[in-house]
Amino acid sequence: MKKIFILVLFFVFTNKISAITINAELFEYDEEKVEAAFADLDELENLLETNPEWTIADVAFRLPQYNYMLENVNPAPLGFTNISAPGNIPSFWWAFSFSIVGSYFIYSAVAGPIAVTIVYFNTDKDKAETKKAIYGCLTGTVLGLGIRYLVSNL
Amino acid sequence: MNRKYYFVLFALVILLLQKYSVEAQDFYRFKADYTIKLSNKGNKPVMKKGTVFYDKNVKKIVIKNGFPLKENIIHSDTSIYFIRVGRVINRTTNFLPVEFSVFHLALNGNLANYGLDKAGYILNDVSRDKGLVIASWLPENNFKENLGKIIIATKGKELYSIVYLNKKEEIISKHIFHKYMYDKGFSFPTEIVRIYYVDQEELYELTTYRNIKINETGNNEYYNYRIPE
Repeated sequence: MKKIFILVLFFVFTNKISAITINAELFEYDEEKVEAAFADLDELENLLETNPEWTIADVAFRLPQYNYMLENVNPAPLGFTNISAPGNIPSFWWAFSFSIVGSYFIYSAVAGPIAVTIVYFNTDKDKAETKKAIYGCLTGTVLGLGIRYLVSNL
Repeated sequence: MNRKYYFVLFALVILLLQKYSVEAQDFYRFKADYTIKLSNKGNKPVMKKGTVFYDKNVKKIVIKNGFPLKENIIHSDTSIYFIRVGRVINRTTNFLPVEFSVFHLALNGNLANYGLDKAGYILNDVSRDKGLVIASWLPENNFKENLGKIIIATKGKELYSIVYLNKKEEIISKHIFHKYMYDKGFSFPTEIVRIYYVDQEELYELTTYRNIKINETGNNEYYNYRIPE
């Protein structure tokens, strides 16, 4: 019985010690494994070396294989926040609203381009947001003119 | 007359030496371009790039991120602010005081023990192995319920690695500090590898710093960043 007790004590004790051995090996790691984990980023890194001002929006057209970063890298825990036109209105709909009304009442046709300009400065000259605003402006103008044509000819 | 001349000259030299030595030790601002690569569990790796600013008197880590998104991330004492085009889009609680960031510790010359002596840890044991000085730190009684042991390795007075253990003495993460830069008595690791052990899998984080500037006089708008209302 005494022997069993000593054996149990031995196992408990050795188990506690062997949980971790404190020596230089504890700080070793596989450098090649770390490098391999990031090998897929090499092409992106090279591209950004020559174009340090680019964002994922610029990269998306050249290297679409990295578009997944738009979803994965999101430091804002509440989800991707699309900061755009004043009042947090998405750029597309901001320009669309102004241009559809503006083109219907021909005299205020400049409203669309003005809305795009506002987005351009409000987003700190963000190319992607400005592009969305331009698409919104074009769509709104076509629709506004179409509605005007239909109303005046019916 | 000659004696008086030599005395004045000697006093001037002493004053200049004193001024230089004070200036050499007073590091208060840090700026660097960073690249962070993160491996994701079951997903493709991601990357962030930008510039970090830190003034130890202001105590705000200002991250001017450029990729994948342009935004400023400000770590203050209690909160982390996410700012895009001049507006706060999110605010979260900061659980890691800026005083325990690598920037603050390096500017104060406390990186070697990672500021653990001021973070509720007690030095438990010190040993040597293969050129490393290995120190084991235990949490103070008040924190023993939640925190595990931390083991720090230093190489030639510089922080080499940190291993975090849980209460069961299992490794939960390992940080390795590489490729130190030196500038007028200031040193900083330009490569930090962080390995996290999650569900028997290793996740990696590789941070590299370039173009490090100390005590920069420009860019005050970043060092003293004002959080928009």
